Amino acid sequence: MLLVSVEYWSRRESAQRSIYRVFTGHDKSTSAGSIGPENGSCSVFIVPSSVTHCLHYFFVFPDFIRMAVAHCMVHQIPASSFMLPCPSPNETSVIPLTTGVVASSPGLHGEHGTAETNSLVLVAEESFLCCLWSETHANCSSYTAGMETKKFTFSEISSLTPQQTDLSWNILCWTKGDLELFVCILKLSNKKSYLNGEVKINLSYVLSELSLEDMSTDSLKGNFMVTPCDCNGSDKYECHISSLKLNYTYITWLNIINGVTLLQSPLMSVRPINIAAGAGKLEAVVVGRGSGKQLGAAGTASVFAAASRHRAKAAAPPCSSQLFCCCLSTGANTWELQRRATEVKPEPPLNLRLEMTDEGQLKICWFNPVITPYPLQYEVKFSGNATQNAWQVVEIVTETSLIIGNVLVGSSYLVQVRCKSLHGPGFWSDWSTPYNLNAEDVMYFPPKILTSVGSNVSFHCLYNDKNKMILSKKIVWWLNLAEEIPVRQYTLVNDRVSRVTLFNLNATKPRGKFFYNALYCCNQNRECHHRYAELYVVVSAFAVSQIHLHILDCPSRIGELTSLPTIEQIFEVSNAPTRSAMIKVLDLCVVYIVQVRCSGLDGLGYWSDWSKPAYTIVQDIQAPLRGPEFWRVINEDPIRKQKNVTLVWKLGSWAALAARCVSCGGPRELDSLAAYLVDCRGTGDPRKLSSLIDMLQLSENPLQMSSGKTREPVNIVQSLSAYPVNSSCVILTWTLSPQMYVITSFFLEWKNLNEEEQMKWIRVAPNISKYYIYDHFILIEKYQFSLYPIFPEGVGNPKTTDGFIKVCGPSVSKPVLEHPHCIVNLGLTVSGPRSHSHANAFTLHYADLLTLICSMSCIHTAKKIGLGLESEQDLGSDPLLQQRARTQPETFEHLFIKHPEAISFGPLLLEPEIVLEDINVAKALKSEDKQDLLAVDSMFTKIQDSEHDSACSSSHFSNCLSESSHDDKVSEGITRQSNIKYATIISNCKSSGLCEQQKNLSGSFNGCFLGEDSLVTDPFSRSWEVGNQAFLILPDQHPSQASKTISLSVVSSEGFSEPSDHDDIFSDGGSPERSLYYLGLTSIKKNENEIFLTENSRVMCHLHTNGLFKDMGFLQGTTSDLNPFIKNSLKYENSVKTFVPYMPQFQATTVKLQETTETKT
Amino acid sequence: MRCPSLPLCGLLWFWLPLFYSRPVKIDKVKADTKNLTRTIIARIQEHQLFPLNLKINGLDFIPGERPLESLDSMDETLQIFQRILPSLPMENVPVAQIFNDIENLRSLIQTLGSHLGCTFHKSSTLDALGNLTELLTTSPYTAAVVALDRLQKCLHSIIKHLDHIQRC
Repeated sequence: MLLVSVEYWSRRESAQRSIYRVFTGHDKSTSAGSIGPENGSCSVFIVPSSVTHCLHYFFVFPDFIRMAVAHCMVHQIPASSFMLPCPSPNETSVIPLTTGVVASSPGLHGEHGTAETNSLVLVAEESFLCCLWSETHANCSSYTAGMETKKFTFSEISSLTPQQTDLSWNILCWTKGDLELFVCILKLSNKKSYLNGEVKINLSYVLSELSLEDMSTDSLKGNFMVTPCDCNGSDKYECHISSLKLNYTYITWLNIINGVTLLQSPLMSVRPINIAAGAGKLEAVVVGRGSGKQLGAAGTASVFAAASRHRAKAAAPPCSSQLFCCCLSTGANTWELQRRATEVKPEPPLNLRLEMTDEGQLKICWFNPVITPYPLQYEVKFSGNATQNAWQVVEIVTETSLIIGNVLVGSSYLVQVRCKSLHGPGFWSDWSTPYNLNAEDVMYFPPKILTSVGSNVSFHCLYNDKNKMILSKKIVWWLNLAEEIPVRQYTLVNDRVSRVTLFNLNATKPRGKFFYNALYCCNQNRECHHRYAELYVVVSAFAVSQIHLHILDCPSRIGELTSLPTIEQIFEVSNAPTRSAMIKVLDLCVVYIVQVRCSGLDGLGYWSDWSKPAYTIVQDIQAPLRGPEFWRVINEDPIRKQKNVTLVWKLGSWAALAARCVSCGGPRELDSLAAYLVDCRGTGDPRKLSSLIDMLQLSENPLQMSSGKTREPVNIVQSLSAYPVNSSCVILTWTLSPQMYVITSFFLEWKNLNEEEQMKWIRVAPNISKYYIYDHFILIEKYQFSLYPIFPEGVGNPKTTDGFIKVCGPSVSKPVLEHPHCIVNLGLTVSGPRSHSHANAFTLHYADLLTLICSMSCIHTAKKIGLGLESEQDLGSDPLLQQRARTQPETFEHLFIKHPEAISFGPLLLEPEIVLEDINVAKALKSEDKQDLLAVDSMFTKIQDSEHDSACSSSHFSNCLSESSHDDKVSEGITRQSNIKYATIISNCKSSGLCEQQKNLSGSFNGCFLGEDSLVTDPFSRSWEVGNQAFLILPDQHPSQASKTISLSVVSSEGFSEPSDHDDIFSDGGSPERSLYYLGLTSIKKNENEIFLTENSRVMCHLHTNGLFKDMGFLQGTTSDLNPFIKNSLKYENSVKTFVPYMPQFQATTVKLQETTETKT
Repeated sequence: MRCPSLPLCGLLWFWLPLFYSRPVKIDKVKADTKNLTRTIIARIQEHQLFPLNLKINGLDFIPGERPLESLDSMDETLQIFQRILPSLPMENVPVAQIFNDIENLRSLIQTLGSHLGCTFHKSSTLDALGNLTELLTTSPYTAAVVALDRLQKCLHSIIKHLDHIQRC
């Protein structure tokens, strides 16, 4: 019996309280043998802050809850009933109530909201007394704050407790049989007369997965649940905790409100599994003791932890099956804790049946009661029938079966089984339902077999014909009463038991309602009993071919190691015709194993074996981040006065595209428009189409655009020049007008004017001023290049140049259209399967389109239409379009296909004739200068952007060039300030295995590399595939040779193809990138610079460079339009000879080449 | 002179054939009974693919073990089979058809009995059958096979007995 005296409860208005966690201080000498210091349970109390001074440790928490750790008493609950009384010592006195304060705590709020829990105040003093009190012994110890103990005698304790109780409660708690409800019954057994009024009880509890030792009292703050107890008759209350978690520890306490008085029980801990029905019950008695004068009411609690000893051993950590209560005694009140152990009486065993061992021995088997969390022992009783009660045979076993041999079979005996907990006390359960051993004349073991075609099965038979056992050698087996099974298939297991084995079974043919073969065990004289064994032979081996798990989105955990779930869940699909089932899963990013089994619809048959497991595949089905990159071509039809807008986009790996345009068509009704989705594989999905149309219709609303009337064209591109490098590389350079613009990107168009060739286009980052176009150029043909600046407001006027080596192409400025006043959503018809040559284009025909804003979205090819989520690349500046971002998951059939790679982004597309207005053109050169400096860097970052969704996002550029370009930028900045040069040295840029070389680019890439010797190596050249910026290469690090080995590179195709003698120079570093090099302030003489351009240099693109440098020379003359790089370089060349200008090498070398070519000519 | 009674007499003469009748011959009834019995046997044999040459214990409530020697026992046995047949879990055998045939056979036997001046007693064993469904579901396959087999035997016994029947 666990009796703990608790000191305590007063009601005061105070928000402060302390929680004391009390540990035991016992040693074995002071307590009974069952008490030991190793039993570490603890107890938590809420005490007022006013008494915290008497405890050793306390911690202050911000919400006024203080926690203190004092001594924790551990009492292992003995097997029999016991009591742990904690009467207050004689010397303790009642603390004046002014010191005991309590109030509703802001930190403690029941989640149910049913009760605002006012906590009791526990008035504690320095000493308390606890006893372990059982039937056989009583040990009491009084603890002082200094852990001094004092023993009390039994008489002292017993004389103390009874008279001083105010309230006495009998509490009985258990877990209901379905293990989902925790029930506590509280019965008021004793009440002092001065306590009047209704009693209201709330049961508060905290759920903890941890054992109590590991639990912090933090978890008691604010997290507890409150469930009110219903009054069930006079002075009887019933509290329920539903949705139990059996193996969790519940810390519970009772709040008893009598009128205005609030009493709180000590904390009680219980694991529902330990008090499950049949496993025992927790009984508690709360007894109040106190003066009552000030309190009005007081309470004492005794809690009966019902878990018996064996359960405490079997299932519970020391805390779990015990009652926790601590005593902080002042003499005012005492909680008596008693335990009346209700003995464990499990439910009787279930489903008695006979089975046969391989040796032909009969055994009677049974099942355990529903749930038994502890081991059981069983008693088996054989008795005669009702008239023959004379004798019984009782055997006790620990297994759930008992071999009975064949002796009793055929006699009219009844078998019954009962059970009891294996360890400790406890009662025997009731006897189970009797099983008549003589119920059947013929017994087949097993009575039914379900097997698959081709297998072998065996049946045993025990034939008792009219109380006379048929000898096994006289048994004949028949199949379906029609066919005698050959004797060679029989096996005589023993005298009585015959076994037949059937080999290589064929599938059972159903005969009427009989889906089995009936196997008869007959006598030799062709007499059979009507009972038979059933043999089901089915064509098995059904397999789960595909598992459909509808995983919608798995954004972040792709690639993580997903562990297989350990919890097995069984879903039953009762509907027979269905061949699929939908299972809701909690975690989408976990691999699930799915197996299927089946049984007959009538529920009679056996379950089949589980099918082979199928594993779900976690798949990222996120939408492409951006739509495809696309551009438009505008053709005017003067006859029809119609303008055809053709949207063209890069072919990608997407399966479907959706295009949408916002336009203002002026007066014309745009009634015939519809939105269509393009399925790039030529299989359209009408449902998808209609949903898209619906969506568009829904979002159709006018867009108020700027109503400005400015008609000034914006010709920001002042010059555009095309310089052929070789047949596969053309360099385009351009200059912008000295105005401040926000340019989002450029579009480059080029077209062979002499051939009916499709226009080609590419999107270029906004802050570069030259671009290498890699294409197959026929240099004698005439090409037209156009550069479209793209502003957030639309497409600016293009600059067009026809042919090469022209400084400024004639600017083709198109008429500027008015801003529209209305915007209508247009659906665009996109047609053509992917195989078609024009699959990546569609055309709009509208006569009076004024402004057209289009956007495209796409779907990965890996999915069918609507499989994943669509992404949408909207016009960045169009809020209306952005507003229409949508996700439309529809089908998920190909969920488990890994989509190959992500999709590229799509830029905006605007009507070319949009008017730009209110653009301040300010200081031009500096900004352009800066733009140029940042060109490479930004370009590289753009490339990375475009590869964002790809698995190969880390290409050469990110590995090498972005770094170097960054250093370029840095070094340029330094150059302009202090003329100190830094550069990153790039040697062998090893490509990672993941990333493919950009073959198409490198194939068409051409460049010149100029140097003292050709220092270009192949791996290095690859890193130049996109770069058009200068690199400073320091093949050797000897300072004396620094000036000679410094070379500025120019793109050279031949240089790439030829392996250089200096390969080893670049590869010896091992690291693809070297740290910044300080180039020093050493002067480089002009003749040294000229080394770069000697006759020996392997400049193979000589033909074109000639013109190129002439062109640059021309540029040099037109100073106003000079590229700032060139200006800078010229300036450095001419004035500050001692510094090597670090800059994009193209410009630098052109200057040099110009000189050499001039001297040549 | 007119004779008003002549048409009346003529009219009465016309009535004479209406009162003509003759009894059904007993041989005809016997022949019909035999034919119907053979028909039922044929129906059973069509689906009972094998002859049951085993003695089945434990299904004593199904008659047919002993030969039928009186019209009364024939009727009683057929009545029992009429109770059993609907409970048999058979789909391939036209149980309903056999049930109706047995009903017709019973009426023929009763006609035959009325010719011979027999009285049919209410069967006592029929009441003692109790709940057949429970008995039949213990081992339904055996019950089905045995019931059809024994019904067949009974029918054969009826045919055999009809040849010699002279009295009840």
